[in-house]
Amino acid sequence: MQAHVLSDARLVRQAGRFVWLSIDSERERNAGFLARFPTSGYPTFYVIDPEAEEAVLKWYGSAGVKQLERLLDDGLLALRAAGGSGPDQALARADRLGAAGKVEEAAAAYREALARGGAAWSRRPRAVESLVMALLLAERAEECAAAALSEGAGLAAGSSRANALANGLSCALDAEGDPPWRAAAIRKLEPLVRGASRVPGLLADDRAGLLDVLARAREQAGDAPGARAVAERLWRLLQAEARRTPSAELRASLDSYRVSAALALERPALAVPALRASEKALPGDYNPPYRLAILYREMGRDGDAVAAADRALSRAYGPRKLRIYDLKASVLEHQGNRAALEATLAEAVAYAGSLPEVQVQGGVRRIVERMRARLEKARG
Amino acid sequence: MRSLLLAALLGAWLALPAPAAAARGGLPWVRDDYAAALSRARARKVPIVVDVWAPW
Repeated sequence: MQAHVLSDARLVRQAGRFVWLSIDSERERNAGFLARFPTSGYPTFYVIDPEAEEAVLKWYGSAGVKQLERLLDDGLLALRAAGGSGPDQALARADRLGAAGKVEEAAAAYREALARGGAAWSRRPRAVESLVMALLLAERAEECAAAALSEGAGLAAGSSRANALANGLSCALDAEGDPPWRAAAIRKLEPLVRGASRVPGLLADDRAGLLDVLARAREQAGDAPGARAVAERLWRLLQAEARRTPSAELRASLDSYRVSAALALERPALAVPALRASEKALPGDYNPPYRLAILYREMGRDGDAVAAADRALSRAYGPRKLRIYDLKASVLEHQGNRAALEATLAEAVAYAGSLPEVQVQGGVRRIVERMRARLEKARG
Repeated sequence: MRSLLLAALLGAWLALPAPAAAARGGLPWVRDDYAAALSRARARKVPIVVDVWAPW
């Protein structure tokens, strides 16, 4: 997103309308901001009213330049709209509720806005996208998948339709307990997402994200050849993007997909040259050596994996560093290097203790607990 | 690539409708400093756009 959209010269015309704040979620100094404005994923955009210090619009995920400009307009609308019965005012209320974390109430307000706006309402695609996202965040899986079908499928081809359908499919795939509605929802949504993934003009990371969801759908269906076909398609997309992309930063922005595609194809070595090129071009970035360590581990090159993890650790900061420790520990365990394993785990646990509480939540907390247990075991 | 907002430009920037950094082809991002962004937004009476991101 940063590499693809936020550097676009067309956004300069928006510069004077806002103050622009970039928050690196891994930096300790941003813990206070993140405690006040929590988020469930990255990137997340906020439009914040500086007088009330309240978010009036919150947007998860990437956006193209035009879509981002519309979101900025909607942020101003949410800031200024008070009362009123039109669809724009209903959307503004929904956005404010969503930004305040009241996702169930936001979903109801998005439905109200859609009902008032009708089929020709210019903000309909974004409102549908936000409705499906609100239901996803509210963990209303059945309603999320249903809204993707009833509202998303009817949108014109483009990123809003694609994202609404993909999020609906994700809701169905992730629904707990295999409820009775799930299979039918997947059966309807998967071909729609497949079709949406072939529409021209999508952002590369949006298209890669759609293929990621489609691969999950094939895996869940037990269709290994189908999952492999999707991974091959993703790999071809990434290769084509690499050929047409002028900068190392732009190429590296898709490296996580390169790793997941190579692993899905059970050919981790495929992605090594691209990751080595990224590390050479971006020497201060911990991500390329971290991803190389993952690939080397899968290739059984334990020594190279440890060396790459050490390079990543020397550049890393924030909670992500704990994942690198965890990766290194897994390789040392495989090597049977008990002394180095114990030292690595002790360093990781001490590092975790130095982070603010807000940075050690959810999956990161589970990693720390796992490493602490392994350390106690290693110490006997 | 985002342009860093240089502290030295701050005084002039507060008074301009389009920041100097923007003229060089990028948005004038305030990096990792919510308090500074808040104070500038209040002074200029404009909202804050925040990009919360992770370097991975």
